[in-house]
Amino acid sequence: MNRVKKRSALWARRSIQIVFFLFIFAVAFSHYAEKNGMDVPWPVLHNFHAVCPFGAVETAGRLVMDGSFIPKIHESNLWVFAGVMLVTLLFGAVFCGWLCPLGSVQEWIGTIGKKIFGKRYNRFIGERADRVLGYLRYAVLVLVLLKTTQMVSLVFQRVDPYYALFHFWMGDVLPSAMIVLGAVLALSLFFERPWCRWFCPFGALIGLVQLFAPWKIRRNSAECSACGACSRMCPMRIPLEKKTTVLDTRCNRCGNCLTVCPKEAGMSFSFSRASLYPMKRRLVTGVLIVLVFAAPILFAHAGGFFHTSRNAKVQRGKIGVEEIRGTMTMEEIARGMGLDSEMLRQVLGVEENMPESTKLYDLEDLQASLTLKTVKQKLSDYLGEIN
Amino acid sequence: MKNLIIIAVFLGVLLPAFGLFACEMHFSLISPDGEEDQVYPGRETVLHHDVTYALRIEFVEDHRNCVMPPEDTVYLLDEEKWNTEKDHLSLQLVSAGQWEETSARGWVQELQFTAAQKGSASLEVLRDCPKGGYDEYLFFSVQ
Repeated sequence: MNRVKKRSALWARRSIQIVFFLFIFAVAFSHYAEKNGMDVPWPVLHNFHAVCPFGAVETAGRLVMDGSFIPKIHESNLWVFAGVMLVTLLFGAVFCGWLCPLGSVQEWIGTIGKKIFGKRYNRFIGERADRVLGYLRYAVLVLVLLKTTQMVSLVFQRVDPYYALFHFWMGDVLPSAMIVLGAVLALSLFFERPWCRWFCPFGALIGLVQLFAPWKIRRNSAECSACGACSRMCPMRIPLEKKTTVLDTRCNRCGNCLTVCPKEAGMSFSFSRASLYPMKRRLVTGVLIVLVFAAPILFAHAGGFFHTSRNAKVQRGKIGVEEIRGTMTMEEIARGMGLDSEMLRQVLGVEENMPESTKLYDLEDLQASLTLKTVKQKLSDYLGEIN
Repeated sequence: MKNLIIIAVFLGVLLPAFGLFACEMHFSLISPDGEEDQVYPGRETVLHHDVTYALRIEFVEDHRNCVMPPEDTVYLLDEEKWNTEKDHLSLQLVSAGQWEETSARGWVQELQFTAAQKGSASLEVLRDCPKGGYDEYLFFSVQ
């Protein structure tokens, strides 16, 4: 394979990584902008946690038990998670290798480390220690799930470097998460993707799921000259030249092995042994990965199921009495129930000078008879009358 | 040996981080005999009729620069604000202690209440803030 093809193959993945990094940055920034009264030229997402796919895993226990979510986690997390699982079940851990912004940042810092340390980069510990450290990911996964179920809260946020990476400038991130982020970025100068390979609980789950993916990295032993270039290039230090099909849970499908292989058909990312997938189609692979990942999310958006907050259902005429929550304002109730705000005041018997932005749980402080319970009762009676 | 030392060092870095795990809100119920049990949101806790309990609420700010003081935490018992002046509620609030700072970003408050009426009651604990807040239900069954 010539040098130009190799470069274009590398850039297919790098371009997607940059686009995803910028996308997540835009999501985080819009959250910040909204809190500070700034305008951004793209749709604002009110809750950054609501687009974290790992949030769906964290809430899994509670969702199974009583169908509810832990705080800050919503239906939207399930759709993003579905995208990750779908793309993993088809192509393996491409989410880690191609899409995850934290993985990308570690990789970008790693390019500096490679320049500083040369061949010593990523070789500061032995292969066995590296492999054993990889099992820590599973320990972190089990611990996070246990603690989240026990505490019914987003415990991982306290040490989550992904959250810290996109919020460190906001003054919101706890020192514990900042320390973990700092350690991860510093370690990235010495090791390739240290968080992904040793600590990431979501990567641990993806690594297991990818064993079922039909698209795998394969070595064509008939073509292979056993030069070992693929193993040396592998960021996860998988001994690729000893394998015909890569079943290692650490593989993130970065494709570096494909790029470095001196033989045109020595390594492939393919559905079966017979269908070797040439590098020149790498951009097609990238586009496919993005489309498959985005498919469930786009479907949920189109169907109106992509709820990113509990009050996201407050659309005109879309809520019933049972869905009314104390945190909703009078204005949200009027809009959500499709009522004229003057009519709402009449139904509830609210004084004229009561601001529309009053939260329902605060109504009783201003007008003692208006508890959340009586508000619901009055609305229920009104709906019963008009129906 | 070298590899074992490396793993031990990594574990040494990782394990203290686990110690940092804490919930945003942690609830425990203290019976008159001093016995303390955890109360979990979404799960039912059984109370005995006419017995006075203490509900301890521990709150850890999960954002730096928390914009909402602990005093702004709202308790809604069966969809009404829970306060000492209301004697018609199934769980009668006897006293609400002050929030006390236990550590950096850690707060605790104790609420004394009597299980006045048999039946079920739900207590919604709300922290309504622009950074995500908190909104959970504690379910009680008075027998």
